[in-house]
Amino acid sequence: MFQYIVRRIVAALPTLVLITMLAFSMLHLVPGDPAEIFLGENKSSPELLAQVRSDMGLDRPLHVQYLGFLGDMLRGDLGTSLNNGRSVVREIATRLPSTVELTLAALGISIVLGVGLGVLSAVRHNTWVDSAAMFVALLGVSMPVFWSSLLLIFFFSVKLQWFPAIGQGGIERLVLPAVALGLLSSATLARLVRSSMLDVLSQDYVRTAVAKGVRPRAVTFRHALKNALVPAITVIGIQFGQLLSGTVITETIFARLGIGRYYVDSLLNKDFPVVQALTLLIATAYVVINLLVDLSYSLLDPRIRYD
Amino acid sequence: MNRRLRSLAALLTILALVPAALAQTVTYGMGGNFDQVDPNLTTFTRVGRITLHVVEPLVWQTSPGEFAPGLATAWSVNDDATEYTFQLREGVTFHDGTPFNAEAVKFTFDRIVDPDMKAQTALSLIGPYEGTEVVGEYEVKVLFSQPFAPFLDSASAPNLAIISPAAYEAAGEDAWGMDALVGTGPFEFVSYTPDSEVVLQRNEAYDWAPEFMDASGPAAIERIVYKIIPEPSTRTASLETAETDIIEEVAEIDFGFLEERDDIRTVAEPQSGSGWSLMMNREQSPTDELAVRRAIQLGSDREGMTLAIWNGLGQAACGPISAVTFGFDPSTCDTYRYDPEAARQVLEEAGWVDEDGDGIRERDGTPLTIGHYYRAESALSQQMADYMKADLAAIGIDVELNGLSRSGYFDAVRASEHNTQNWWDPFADPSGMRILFHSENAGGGTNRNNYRDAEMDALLERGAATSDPQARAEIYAQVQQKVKDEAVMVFYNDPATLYAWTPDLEGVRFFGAGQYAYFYPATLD
Repeated sequence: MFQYIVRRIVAALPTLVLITMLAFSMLHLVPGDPAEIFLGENKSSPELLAQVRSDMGLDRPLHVQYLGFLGDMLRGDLGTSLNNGRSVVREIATRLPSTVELTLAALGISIVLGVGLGVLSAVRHNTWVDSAAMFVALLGVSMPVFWSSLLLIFFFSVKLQWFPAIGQGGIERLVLPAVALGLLSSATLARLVRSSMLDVLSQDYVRTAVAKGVRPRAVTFRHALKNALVPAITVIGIQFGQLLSGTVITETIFARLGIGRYYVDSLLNKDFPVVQALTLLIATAYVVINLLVDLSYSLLDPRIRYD
Repeated sequence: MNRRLRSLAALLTILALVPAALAQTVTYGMGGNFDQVDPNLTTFTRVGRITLHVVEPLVWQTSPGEFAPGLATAWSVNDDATEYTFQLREGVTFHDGTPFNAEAVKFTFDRIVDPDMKAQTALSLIGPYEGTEVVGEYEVKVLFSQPFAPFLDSASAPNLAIISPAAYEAAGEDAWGMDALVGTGPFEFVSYTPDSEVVLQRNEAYDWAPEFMDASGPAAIERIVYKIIPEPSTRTASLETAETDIIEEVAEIDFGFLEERDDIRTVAEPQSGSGWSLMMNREQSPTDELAVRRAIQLGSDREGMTLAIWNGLGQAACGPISAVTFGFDPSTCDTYRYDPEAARQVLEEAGWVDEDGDGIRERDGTPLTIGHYYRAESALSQQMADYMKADLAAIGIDVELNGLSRSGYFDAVRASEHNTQNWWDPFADPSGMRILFHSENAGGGTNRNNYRDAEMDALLERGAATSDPQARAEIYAQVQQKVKDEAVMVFYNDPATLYAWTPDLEGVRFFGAGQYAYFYPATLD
């Protein structure tokens, strides 16, 4: 098991280097000069532009810039933002906790709702409960996050005054954005859990369990759900990554500090060091989550082993 | 008292204190991001909106062209506007305890023109600055290499406000404007969290409020928290849920219903300077041709746009400066009004006719097409582009819409690939028209009309060199008429700056034609 983990981590390193290389070259291929964006609509002379470029280190050949970035990164230095000159590590550190908090809460909501609705509609297959649950899931998939966010603010902040509309810190500020973000992925999960449950419920061992007189609740949760969750775990893992990098709309609407907004702003400003660092961070998160997902299989299904 | 009781008592005490503390905090809903909180280096107007409370200007502009003492109590200008002498207020101290004096003024201005600082807005405001002469502890002479009449206006902007040299040296350039900002204002800088908020707290030692402010001593309000809330509808919601006390950049669509509510106050302050407009590039065909530019000018329905895009707020624009700007010439409202029939006739006479009946005019086989460039992420730019396309289609001009990302847009327009692009520039003094029309700003600068005209350059330079207000106004009237006669740009809407706040907040003052909401004289119930 330990050896397996080490092997996986070593195998992930080339992937991460490849990702930084891809991100770096794509950023430089897209038209637009960070120095010009920095100067904005203001009057600028060629000399000023050249000076800003050299201050940003953009006058060096591309491969020198990339190797410089890699070298600094290995020393734990992710550089400074081209936009405000602050350390990228610090800028990310102020925003990451709030995004992680939002992502985890949204994932929690997504799992509770998704697995709940999925199991319910599989157990009550072809009844009105099934149709209602799947209708809710369809609604969740089809509703754009910005729209559900605004609706949540309108009803629960402005009308009912249950939750604050803006900012971060405290459960009460987390509920609405987490629901808005979690709804979308819960719907996908519900549909997946439903079909996977239906599949498992028709298996022989389930029929045997029922025939032996095991209580229906135990059959559903202990025998069926555990096996039905194996594919769902994969999706949950992917969703965690998607949620982590997909918080931009929720963060903008609920005026939350976070890396989603920061990522998009930095892309628009072509703030290379920030985009590089965030890309690396999210890629690493994906790699780690995938590893955890793989390891969790053996917990759910002891037949899966890593030696 | 056992432990549980004691913690309960402590909790109750805190709860009792919280409302009192909150009552004195003004929470301000800000419309968007900015780069730093250094007013001397930033390009963002929003930064000045915050820092005006922390770092004070030499003079205040109480209405267009009217100045009142700030950190300077008196001033005089020589005849050709190359020397400004300021008598400075005595007994003023910076938040770090060091005294405000002539050296601080010199330090601030010298830093703005230091090329390493890459100051932008402040650099253009300080004009042909040559240096500051320290005449005495409380007297400075600011010198210019060329006549520079707009300097009092510049000195009233937050961009030229005076910082503490000692505090700057102590903090260092990297931390300044991020973790430190020290001035003499009624509020002290506490913290700045990028993308999130700026916190200011009352300066208890403040005792030098300008006379016109009708307030003295420390401010009534203890703290101001500027919260960045980029989504307009969330901003409105935050005011309704009392999470903010005042919001800026109210969505035009929300303004109407907020205005009708008894429990909310609103104001639409007309902006000075140049409103929303269209620049037309002379380096590209067909906008290099007067007839085409004239047709666009006559064929643009400014009233209709104001209703549709700005929800009827602000004014349909007359010319390059708005009605509340010093030197505004009202006669510009009567020339080249919206007249699609006249626009069609101008094009016919220039030989642009629709030969193949597809609705688009041609001449010598070339269709009359213009390339419009705009920033796709801006909803307002998209709306203006859509309206323009429809208006010009009605007179037989085809508009090719190029909505680009921020970076792609700058690349294209700086390289002069555009026929047309939008502009907005809320400068305070009419000399700001230099940004739009002086040939020194053509060729990749801010004059994306690439308009180069010796007579216009001379007028703009003369305007900047004339101190007599009457004579200045006459020069700038000529500029405004010339711009309209030659169809240099098309002016759509002179917008209003929209604010909404709770009635508990009283006495807020607005400076810079609504750009700066100022809370020193305000109270909060």
